[in-house]
Amino acid sequence: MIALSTLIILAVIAAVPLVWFVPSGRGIDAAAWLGLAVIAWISPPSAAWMGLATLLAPLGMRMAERLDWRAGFAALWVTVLGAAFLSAQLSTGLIWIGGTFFTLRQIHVIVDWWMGKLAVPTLAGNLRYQLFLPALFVGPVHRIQNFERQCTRRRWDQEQFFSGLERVLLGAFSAEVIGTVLIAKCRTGLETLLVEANPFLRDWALSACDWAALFFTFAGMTAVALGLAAMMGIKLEENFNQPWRARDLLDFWQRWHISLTSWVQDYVYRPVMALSRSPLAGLFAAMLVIGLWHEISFYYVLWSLWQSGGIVLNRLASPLFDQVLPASLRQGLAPLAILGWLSLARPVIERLLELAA
Amino acid sequence: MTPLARLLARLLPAPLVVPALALAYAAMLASLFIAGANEADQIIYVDVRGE
Repeated sequence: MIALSTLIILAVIAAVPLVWFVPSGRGIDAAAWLGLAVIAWISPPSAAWMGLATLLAPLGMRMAERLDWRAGFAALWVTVLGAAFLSAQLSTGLIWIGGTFFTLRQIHVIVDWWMGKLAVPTLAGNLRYQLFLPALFVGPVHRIQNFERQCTRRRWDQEQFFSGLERVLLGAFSAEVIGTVLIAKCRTGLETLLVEANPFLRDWALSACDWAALFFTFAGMTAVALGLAAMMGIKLEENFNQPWRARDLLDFWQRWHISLTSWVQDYVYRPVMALSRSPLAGLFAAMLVIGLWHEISFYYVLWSLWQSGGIVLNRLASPLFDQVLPASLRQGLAPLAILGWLSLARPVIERLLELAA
Repeated sequence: MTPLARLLARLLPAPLVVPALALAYAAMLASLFIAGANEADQIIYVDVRGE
């Protein structure tokens, strides 16, 4: 039986010629309808929710402007989105699409509109943005302003098309061959090698291995999405910026899953910081949202505390390291220290949860 | 020129660029077909939940 991920990639590939052959510049709209059809095929309830939410949001915004009820509608819509996100995360025995990236994009549109940064999008504009097939399943969490600009400027560019195609191939290679097969084999070897080792150290080493696999898989799949978008004439926001070159933990989070980090910075960190006047509260709230966005569980609450704590410790210890270690050594050790901290989270949190159970 | 072609053009003499590029694409495609036989685990970043 064909794997779901393969099916999705094939559907997105099928959308590329559709985008160029549909007349009157309606190609991206056609790709959005194809996206909705693909979702309906995999999960009819998800398609019903995403289609309805995409169409209702601009209508609601227009009505709220007429009734001078912007803040009320924005709050109501964000609550509805939050409830749908929760049900998507917690539902079992049902395939749910749109619990994560779609929710973030919807909140971006509604909040930007409420803050006066964005006019009410047209029904067609919102549909092509929210259901843009390449970014539907793995992101990035692109922004509507850039997307609309790209749609307006879109034209056939042979170099962009073939560079996109090459990126798809490189991304698929990174995700499938390196992330899924090669690192999995290394992990098995490492597990065998460390069978006699201290269980905590073994779990830590395996967790580091899983972070490497996650990078190659996720960055590879994002490259496939960005490559397919480029083949359609759309340049989406980049999601990774050489995270292995990060200088500290905060720098790492600004290089890893950039579109999520910048979303959280705009819609969580800044509002919380403005209300509380506390960067620490803003940091914890932002990390909590990132954690719970991954999975609603106590594990991820602790994970958020761990990551926020890491950034705070990093900031406090930086002046000391600056004095003690030469710059070149600091630069060389930083990626190892970052990977060490990130991968230490799992063995520590799992043991804490075992103790609490 | 694609980014990989540009990279190879910087590293190799001109007559070798096209064969090297073709070889790289062929190797990646072949390894993808071989790797495709293994079913990948569900990863947290793919927005498809459930069974």
